Amino acid sequence: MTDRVLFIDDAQVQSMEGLQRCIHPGEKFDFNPVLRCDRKWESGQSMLGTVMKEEGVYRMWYGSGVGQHGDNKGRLWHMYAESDDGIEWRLPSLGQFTDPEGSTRNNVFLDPESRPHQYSNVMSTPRMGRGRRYTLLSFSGPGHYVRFSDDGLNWTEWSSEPVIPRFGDVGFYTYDERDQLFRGMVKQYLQVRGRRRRIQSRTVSADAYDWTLPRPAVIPDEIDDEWTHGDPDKASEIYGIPIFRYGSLLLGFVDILRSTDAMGTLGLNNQGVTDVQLISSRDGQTWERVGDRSRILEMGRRGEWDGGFIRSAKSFVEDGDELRLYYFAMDHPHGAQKKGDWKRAVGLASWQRDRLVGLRADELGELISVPIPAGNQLHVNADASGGQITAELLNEAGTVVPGFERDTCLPFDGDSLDHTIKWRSPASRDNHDENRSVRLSLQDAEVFSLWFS
Amino acid sequence: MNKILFIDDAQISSMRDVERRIHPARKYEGNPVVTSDCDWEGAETTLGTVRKEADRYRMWYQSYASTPDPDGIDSFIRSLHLYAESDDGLAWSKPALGMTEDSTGSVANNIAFVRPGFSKDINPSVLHRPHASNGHTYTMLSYGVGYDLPYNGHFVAYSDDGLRWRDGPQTPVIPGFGEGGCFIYDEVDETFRGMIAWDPSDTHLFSTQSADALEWSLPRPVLTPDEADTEWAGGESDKRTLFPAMPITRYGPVLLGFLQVLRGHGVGVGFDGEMDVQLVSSRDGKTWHRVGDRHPVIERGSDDSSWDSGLVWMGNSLVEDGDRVVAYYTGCQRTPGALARSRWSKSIGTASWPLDRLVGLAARGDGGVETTATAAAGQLHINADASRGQVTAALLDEDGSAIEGFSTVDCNALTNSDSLDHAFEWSGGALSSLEDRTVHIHLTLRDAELFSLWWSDDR
Repeated sequence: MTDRVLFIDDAQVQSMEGLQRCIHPGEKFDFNPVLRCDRKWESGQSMLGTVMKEEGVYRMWYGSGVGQHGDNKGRLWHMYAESDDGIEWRLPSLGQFTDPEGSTRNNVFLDPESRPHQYSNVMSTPRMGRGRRYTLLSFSGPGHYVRFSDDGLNWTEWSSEPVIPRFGDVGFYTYDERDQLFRGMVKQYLQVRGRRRRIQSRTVSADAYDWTLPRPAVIPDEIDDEWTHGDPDKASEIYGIPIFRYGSLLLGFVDILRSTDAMGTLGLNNQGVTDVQLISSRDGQTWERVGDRSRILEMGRRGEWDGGFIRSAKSFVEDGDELRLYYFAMDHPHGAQKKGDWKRAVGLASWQRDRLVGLRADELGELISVPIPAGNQLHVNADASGGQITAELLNEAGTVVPGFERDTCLPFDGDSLDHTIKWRSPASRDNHDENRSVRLSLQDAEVFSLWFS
Repeated sequence: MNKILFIDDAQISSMRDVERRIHPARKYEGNPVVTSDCDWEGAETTLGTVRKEADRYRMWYQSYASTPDPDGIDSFIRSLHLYAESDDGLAWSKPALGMTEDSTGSVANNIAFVRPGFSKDINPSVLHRPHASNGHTYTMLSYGVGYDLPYNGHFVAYSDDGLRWRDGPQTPVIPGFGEGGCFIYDEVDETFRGMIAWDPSDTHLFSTQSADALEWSLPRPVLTPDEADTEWAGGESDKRTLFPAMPITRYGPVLLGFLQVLRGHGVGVGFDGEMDVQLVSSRDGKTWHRVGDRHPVIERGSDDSSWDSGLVWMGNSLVEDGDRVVAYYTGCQRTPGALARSRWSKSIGTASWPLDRLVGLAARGDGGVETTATAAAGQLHINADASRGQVTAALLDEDGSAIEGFSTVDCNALTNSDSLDHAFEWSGGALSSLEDRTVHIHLTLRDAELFSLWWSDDR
């Protein structure tokens, strides 16, 4: 099977007409949140963290606020949970560290006495060799630290010095198997249009400890600031961006803070709600905002558990035909309460495969893909239940390949994650080993991806 | 010529009864040598870079001037990159470059470069790469902020002659970080080196390197005030020691850092303090060591009325000139609250040391220093002050015994004399017999101070 052609960006679109790029917010699980930090010694503050699925088991690494008062207030301990379905989570007894009740029958996986860390970015990195099957990167105080593990539970700190000094406190990392690179997005404050704001900078490493100088990847632009209507107290900031590989693309969930105290005396720009939007990149260096920037993850209504502040995390899970994103949220805006009083929980949103973004024709539309290696069969992931889709194949000169004309294509008028396009001509069975462009004609339909098998 | 310096212990095998002594630079009596005396200059005059090229001193310095808006609506502050020249490094002229309009509309001024759209374009380091092509003989790194810029950070510009500058990339080569960036081109390692700060609330200085001044390594913290630095505060919470910046320079086998040490008290507009310059050294650009007892190498003016009594700081401005090492520095008079004010009066002065004499190893009475080197065919030289004592040398073999004819008693000691270049001779004959052999050099000092040591190829 060839790489799927995704329509999240224009990189694989040669031309299109009559189509609009549609962003589909994740569908939230009806019984969210799926995890609360509500044991009596927990403060209710949770922070993802990572979710991944390995050998049929969902695994979650998350932070939980421990201690209601004093020095411990707001401090995160690092916890581990497992689930068979990603909905019902169990907290295994790891027996590693003593909790405030004096017991080691708990799910704490990092030494609470060590420096406090945020955002457990756990990556499966078997390529790194023995002792390093898992890599953990997290921020604490002076910078970002790395740890290695063989089971994701017992960790060894690589160095007492941060591998990325400063650039905190928010940082998300992924191991990109395709490029065999660790990729990071870390927070930096920069002066953007006269204001000191949070932005996110990209960095890469071959080994998780030698990193490049982070360079700005996503900066709030004038479109991001449109909602402020020039009010000097308001500004958009890029709060954090978990990134991950999705087929031929790198995707990121951008957490945008709509700050309403941008002129705050401390310049902390802390008060505000968040949006979660989608960005994409083909090379990890240039990142593009997707479509009209509408939300990929909707905040809950006021009063709901996720109605104030919503954050994505390193928790995008491809599970068969389902894409899952675990997120954490709270019912009040960022900065509305003292940090130690924040109550956050973990929820779940999902999409069907490839259906984060599609190209939709409300009437008639057409797109031509860039030439891609062809196989025997052309597949589309599309919803044409209210209309139809037909296809034809073009050679690299742009001429229709005989036997693969639009007129001989059997129209698709269903809704399928994997529909095989068929032509009436017998020649349609012999179409491999050439580069072909695909011309799709859509009528009241939306296409999400296409590929050859 | 591979010189051995005693600024750190890196080239010392052993030493006995000597102390490392820091010598503050001797200030020129006619200071300041450059002040704001032109209509287009603001009250602030700051370094910058000084180089000596052929027989001419060249200075790149800055001033912040109120200048009419091009649209004629209002005035705004421009960061001017200014240029001055001198034959002797003392009397400076400000040539009319005819390049940039000043506040009067004239181009008869010494403004070399102004970046439009920058509200701040400060702390420039002008770096010289003699073999660079493509008009990149000179590289300037400076810190820029501006509403129309994508974001703040360290920007690059290029020039063939140090006067006509072209912008490099439109985005900073080092995004963000603090204003106090200091850069050099290290010809020994063919590397650009930078020393930068993270932000004003962070007490660390960070080191970074680049092969091309465009792609920089991840800055790593190398220096922060320690307990000895903060001792003066006596535990009072409103007293702080800060390292705002550290210009660095290549000096023979070592990298020197001129650490700006600010001792301040109070907060916000009440913040006040004093700043002087201490010496730091490194052999690799990564690990930096404080030198000796940390006595300032550039001292503040001794009485409050002197022009540099409040703050002194170096630029990229250490010049080796014959038998002297010349430093240029910015000074500011001690005035209460000066640190918190947005405008203050600063000028540029100069101070110097005899060659290699920033730091020495001194013996009161008898002392000894031993170092290891590969012998050359020529002569062994020292830079030492034995005007009230003596320095003798012996060459030892690997087991520590004196090589016959090259013992202490066989050498022509430096006695009751002060010499920047004393060549040892031994009764054992010419050193050519030891050429390329690893020898231990044992120097015996009596009431003397040793600054450097080297082999010449002279026979």
